[in-house]
Amino acid sequence: MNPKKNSDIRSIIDADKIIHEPARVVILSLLNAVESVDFVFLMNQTGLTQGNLSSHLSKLESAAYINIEKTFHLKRPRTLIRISDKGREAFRNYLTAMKGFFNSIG
Amino acid sequence: MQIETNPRSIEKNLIFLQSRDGMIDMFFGLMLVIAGINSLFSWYKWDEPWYLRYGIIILLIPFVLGKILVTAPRTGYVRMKPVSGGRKQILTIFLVISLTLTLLLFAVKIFKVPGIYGETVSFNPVIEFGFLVILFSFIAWLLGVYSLFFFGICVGVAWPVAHMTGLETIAGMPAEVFTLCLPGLIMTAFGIIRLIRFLKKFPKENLKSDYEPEKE
Repeated sequence: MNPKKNSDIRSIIDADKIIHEPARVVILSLLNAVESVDFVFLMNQTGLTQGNLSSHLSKLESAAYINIEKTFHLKRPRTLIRISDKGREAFRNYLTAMKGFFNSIG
Repeated sequence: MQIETNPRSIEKNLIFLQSRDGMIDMFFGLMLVIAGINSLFSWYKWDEPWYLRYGIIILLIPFVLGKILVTAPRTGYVRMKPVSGGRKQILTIFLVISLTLTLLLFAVKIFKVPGIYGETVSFNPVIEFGFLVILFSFIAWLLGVYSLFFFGICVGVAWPVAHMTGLETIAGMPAEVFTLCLPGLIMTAFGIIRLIRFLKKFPKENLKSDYEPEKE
């Protein structure tokens, strides 16, 4: 087999495990397209429950892929989420790896 | 619901979501009703009470408060990346000019600005209603609130129907009472139904939803 093709196919095995989860791919795709969102918006857009979304955000925050900031707006708590530079680069690398994989099997 | 990851689609999705609260339908509906009632007062040369004269401005208060206190907390918040949008700027300028002209038109008609509006001067109803149809259609397209397009057509069709059927003569009232009040009442009712559905879809419990970090 072509070494490059072999490498592209293997890329899915070596994919970033933090990102390589459907819900987290969706979360990072949304965050990558905007400057920042709040928790409620992310919950509405992804359709995830509060607990489920919090769990995924915790994992992404632990990896420093996102920044979470608790603020107040009109006396109501508002949690703002934005993708970090590290997260943006990791997501870009992940997309490149995935494109390589799908192109090699396509 | 389809998950959007394109910035423009996300923005459109948010505007669409925020328009489902029915508030813009109620706002425009009540605005039409007030305009219709104002024409009745003009017809009979009665003194308009202050709350009718300034009704359109007064309506802005519950509309803005509703958006801030009811809609926005339920739909969430997003800050888009700054876009050097030539198209967006053109549309914003066009909207500002259109809204300014519309408000001026209403002000001249309602306040009967001397020198511009008088007994011998009146707006051609075709222009007046045609302008309303164009304005509603433009706002509907811009915001993606397609119910406004439908209501614009209703307003545009109502006036010629009223005149063809001789409603003015039969009812002894100006045609605008029916051509503005009836679509206005339908829009308001539609807006109320939409608001109820919106509150069911985004119940109060959702307002308490917030990020809870996992305990290690």
